[in-house]
Amino acid sequence: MLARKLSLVAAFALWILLLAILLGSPPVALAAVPVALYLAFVTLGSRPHLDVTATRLLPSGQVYEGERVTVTLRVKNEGPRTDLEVVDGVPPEISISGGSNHVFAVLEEGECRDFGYSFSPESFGSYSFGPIRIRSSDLASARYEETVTESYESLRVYPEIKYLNRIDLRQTRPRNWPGETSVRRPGQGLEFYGIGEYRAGDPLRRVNWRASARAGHLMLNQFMNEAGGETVLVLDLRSTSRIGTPPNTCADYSVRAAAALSHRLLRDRNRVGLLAVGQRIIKVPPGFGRRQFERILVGLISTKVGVDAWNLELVPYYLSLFYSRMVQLVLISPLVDSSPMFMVSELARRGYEVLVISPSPLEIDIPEKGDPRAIRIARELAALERDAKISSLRKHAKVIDWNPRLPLVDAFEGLRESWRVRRPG
Amino acid sequence: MASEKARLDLVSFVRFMGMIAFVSLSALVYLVIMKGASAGVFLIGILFSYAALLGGIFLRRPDAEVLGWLILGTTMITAEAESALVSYWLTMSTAIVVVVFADFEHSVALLSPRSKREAVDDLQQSERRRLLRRRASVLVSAGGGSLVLSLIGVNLSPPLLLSGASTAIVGVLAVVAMVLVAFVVLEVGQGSRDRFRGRSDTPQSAAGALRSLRK
Repeated sequence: MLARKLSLVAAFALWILLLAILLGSPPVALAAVPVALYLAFVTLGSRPHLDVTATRLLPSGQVYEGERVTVTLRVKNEGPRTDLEVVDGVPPEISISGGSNHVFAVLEEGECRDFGYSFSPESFGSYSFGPIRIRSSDLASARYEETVTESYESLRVYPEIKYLNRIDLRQTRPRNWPGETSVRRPGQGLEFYGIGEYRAGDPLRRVNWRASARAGHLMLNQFMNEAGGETVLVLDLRSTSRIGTPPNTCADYSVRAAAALSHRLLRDRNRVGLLAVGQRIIKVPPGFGRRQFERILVGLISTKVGVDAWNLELVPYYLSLFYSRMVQLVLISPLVDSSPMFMVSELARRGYEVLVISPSPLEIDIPEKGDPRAIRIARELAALERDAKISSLRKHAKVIDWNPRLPLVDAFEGLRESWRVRRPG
Repeated sequence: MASEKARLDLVSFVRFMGMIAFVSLSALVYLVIMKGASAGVFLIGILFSYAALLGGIFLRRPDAEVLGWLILGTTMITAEAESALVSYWLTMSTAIVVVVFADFEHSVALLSPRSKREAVDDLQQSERRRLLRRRASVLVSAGGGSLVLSLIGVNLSPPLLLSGASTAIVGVLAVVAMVLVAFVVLEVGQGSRDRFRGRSDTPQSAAGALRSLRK
């Protein structure tokens, strides 16, 4: 294929000729001669060959936001020696920090070479790469051959998980499978429950000899049972969550909190599910274990804030259709409008236990420009409105008012006392 | 360290020098046209060339940069034609210099990063420097060869230099003759290169020799 610049140079030669005729100047006409010769030289020179394959190698393991990712482009030349230009399509959200996605190379016949570029994704999500454009041109860039390898791949970048070592998110309605929540019935746990009568088959090391001497027959130390529960995380990613600047919007903080909570809950042998309401509805039925965690992470990065697919007020009806009242619900919402209030009160009315974690938009969106007095008054009014909402919600559910600039585990500190008060027995 | 940095940014440096050359040439044209009667018309030509060049740089369109150079070249040749200094070697040199500069600018633009997000590491910098040197040598030799051949050809054809000759006939005849000469030269050159390649590609190893015998 001929480059477009050749047409321009040819037009230049013709224009010189035309100009010479108009001016009646033979020296000007002769100026077209070297230009025409030059065109002939660069056009009739060597022709580029393009018999090249290119593949992209993305990292195989899980990638979390902020981590350094290296993408490798493997280019193999099946034809004769050629000058190559390879451009890999990268998503606009990423900025390359090392290497290049636009490489030049001279490959010998049969040569295979790897080129790499690296970047650190600032935010979680699914990033699409491709296609790979390969161009071979002659040295004068007059002729070129171009091919597009339709190689499209997605890289899943999971939200950064701030691992929660210890949070008081207790299951008040434990189920019949082993877990980490102490239940006031005798079982295999570590916390002391009481003294009971020895029955055949009970381990002798649990015999309470002092009590046995008093009773005249063998008595046994009993320990509390430890059971797991079932939690469904309800994520409010409606357009109202788009407060702040990516990658630090309310929605981003909500997703990170959901990832950290689900990790902790699954580690404590609970069943965890997800319902994310945003541009799409993402439903992950409850489950156990590592695979469930991956399913939840995939669900979390698939959610986008955009035109709302659902009103949050529909959620109680959906949940009551599919989940029993034994399920603990955790709503993560910035509480910007009144929909979450209705949702929580409706769920409480239907007998569900709800915990609300609210990343405070007031701590995220801090205006830097404008009249300081007006900003201060606006913030005070917004804080009052938020306090009123939270007070109203506390009638139906436990509420954690979370400053996203601080670790989530700190926000749970205030909840510990309320668990102690409500602890059964 | 400083020299290493300067070497790394060779492509940008050459691009900057191209801009300097453009500004210098346009200043030269301005000096030539200042004395002429139709200075305003030429000034418009210079402004158009700047618009095309800057548009090409900002929109990352190498072809627009080439257009900028060619508009400047046209303006310059026309200005020379209007001046008393006009001669066939001057117009020829101007035309080829402008074309070589335009082509070089095009090559440099192709080797530059496509966007601000694109990072270029040291390895790619050295690869681009190497390509730039090779392309520069090809363009300069093509331009120089064309000019020398043209000058020789025109000098060997006295009728082309007669003052009474028709301009159109002179131009067309000269261009056709030169392109024919170039075609013959290049075809002969291509043939000899192919023959040379055939010899150099002869397999040197025993297995390769065996394979070539089987063919």
